Amino acid sequence: MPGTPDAFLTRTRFVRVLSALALLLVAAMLGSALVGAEPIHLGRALFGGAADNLDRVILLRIRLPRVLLAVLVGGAGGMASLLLVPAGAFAGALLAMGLVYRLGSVHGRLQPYMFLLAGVVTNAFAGALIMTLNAVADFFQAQGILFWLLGSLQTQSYGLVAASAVYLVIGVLWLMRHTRAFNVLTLGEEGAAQLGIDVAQTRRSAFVVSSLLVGASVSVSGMIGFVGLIVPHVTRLLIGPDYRLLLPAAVLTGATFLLLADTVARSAFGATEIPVGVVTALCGGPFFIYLLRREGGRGVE
Amino acid sequence: MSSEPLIALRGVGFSYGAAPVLRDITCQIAGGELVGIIGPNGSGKSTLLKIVSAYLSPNAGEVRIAGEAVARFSRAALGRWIGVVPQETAVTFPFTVMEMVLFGRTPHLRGFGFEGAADLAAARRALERTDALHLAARRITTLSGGERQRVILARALAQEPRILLLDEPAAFLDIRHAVDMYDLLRDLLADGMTIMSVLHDLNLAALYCDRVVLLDRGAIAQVGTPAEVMTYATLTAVYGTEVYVAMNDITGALNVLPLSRPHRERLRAQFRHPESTDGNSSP
Repeated sequence: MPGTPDAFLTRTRFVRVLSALALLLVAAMLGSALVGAEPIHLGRALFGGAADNLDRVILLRIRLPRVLLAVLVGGAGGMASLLLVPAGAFAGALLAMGLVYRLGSVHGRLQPYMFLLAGVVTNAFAGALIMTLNAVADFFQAQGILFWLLGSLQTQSYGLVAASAVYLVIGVLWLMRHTRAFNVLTLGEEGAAQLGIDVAQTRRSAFVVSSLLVGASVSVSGMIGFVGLIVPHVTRLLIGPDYRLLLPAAVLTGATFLLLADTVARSAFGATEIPVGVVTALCGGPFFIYLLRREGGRGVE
Repeated sequence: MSSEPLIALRGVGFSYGAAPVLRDITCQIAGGELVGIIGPNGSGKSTLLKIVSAYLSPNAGEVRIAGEAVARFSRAALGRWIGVVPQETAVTFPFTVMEMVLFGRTPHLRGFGFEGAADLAAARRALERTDALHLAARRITTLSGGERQRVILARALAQEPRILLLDEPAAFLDIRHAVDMYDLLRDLLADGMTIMSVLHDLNLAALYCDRVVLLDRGAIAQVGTPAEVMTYATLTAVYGTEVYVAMNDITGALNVLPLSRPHRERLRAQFRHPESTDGNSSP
């Protein structure tokens, strides 16, 4: 643990941590908007004449929507995975969600292990369906499927950005109301119930909202892996396990992480873009192994 | 205390699926009592506690608290009436002790927000009561078993409940920490708390409880003071093994000790030929 932790969450600490993370995100957004295959000049883009202002076109039409989308998708991914929910694409999300929920419930109660296994199995099944589609698709469609599977934030419109923003904001506000209950739920179902939590209703809320968030972000950006793996763990290590701070903090760190990854993805190889999912997976793979080794070494409590 | 019992169970029955766990449990607990629940493994002790805390709903009968059926309480209202100390608490994440104790304020709070001065004061009082205030900034994951159990008790006290339910709170504690725990519970009685505790250790039950409820295969075998209930004949019959029961000269409470097979066989032989009986007296 870095430094001495506060004994409990105060308003001061809440504001201070979130401000610092927000500042970091804004700095990353500014930096990312200026970086790319074509170097642009911020002053000229903002204050130069409207006519033939290529810098402005690149900034407002290409870079900015992409930056915003990376922020939204990363934010949603960082937060939703905090609540341990397996992903599925939006159209399929509702279906998969219902399926996993039913399979993961015994006697009408959501059982964590059954839930996890149901998620893994549904994921494998959906994966087989995707491969079938891929096999029967023509060359160009297959290329699109490949990019979607690897995850990409290419060529997005402001309309899509606005729609994603609505999802994220409503989702965050909805979940924030339950963060105290999420804290208490870490004590287990019985412990939480005895502290006055309606366990079934809280679980349902977390499940539905985070599934919708993941579904929405997967449908606009494809499967960007590992954001949900790295972000919650690192954020928890840095600021502690209180969900009231952890949840909004994970939105900000998730956004920053995906933005940086996407900036690398579209600028590291000049004009050739690599899928952002490749960058996140290259960071996430080794990190996952590190986590597994560490947990294995510590033993399961 | 008032004439009305604080906790009243009437004809409570419960089954997991087809297997009955509790049958026709009727008993009353007055305010300010420490009542022990004893009985062999699988006799339904923990289940009884979960029914009183309304985590499980009985299939038959009902539980009343202060005259009101628990089924009619909201979860939060129950959290303000009843604090629960489980046998063991899973600590998945490294919350600090203060955070853990503040969880006890949950039934008093709503929605998103930060704990106020009253909540912090309640948490500090609870930690002081359990002699754990010096641990406040420690991570719960770094505590010893005895320290952790004191913190969990502090969490229950931070709820400011009138009833405490404990499921073998001393199961994983050494003899000193065990007596510290029960001494503290006796102190809480003086403040007006009412306590039900499941105990495996019959000596602790005899030493600390005002009354004990002895369960046998899901039904009440006997209810009464430890001296009334914990006799050689009753314990031997319910637990299915001969035990040594004697009065402790220092405490005036009963001592119950296990006997190995050669001793049990000798005892059985003596009871078949009672002329040579000595020591372990049957009432």
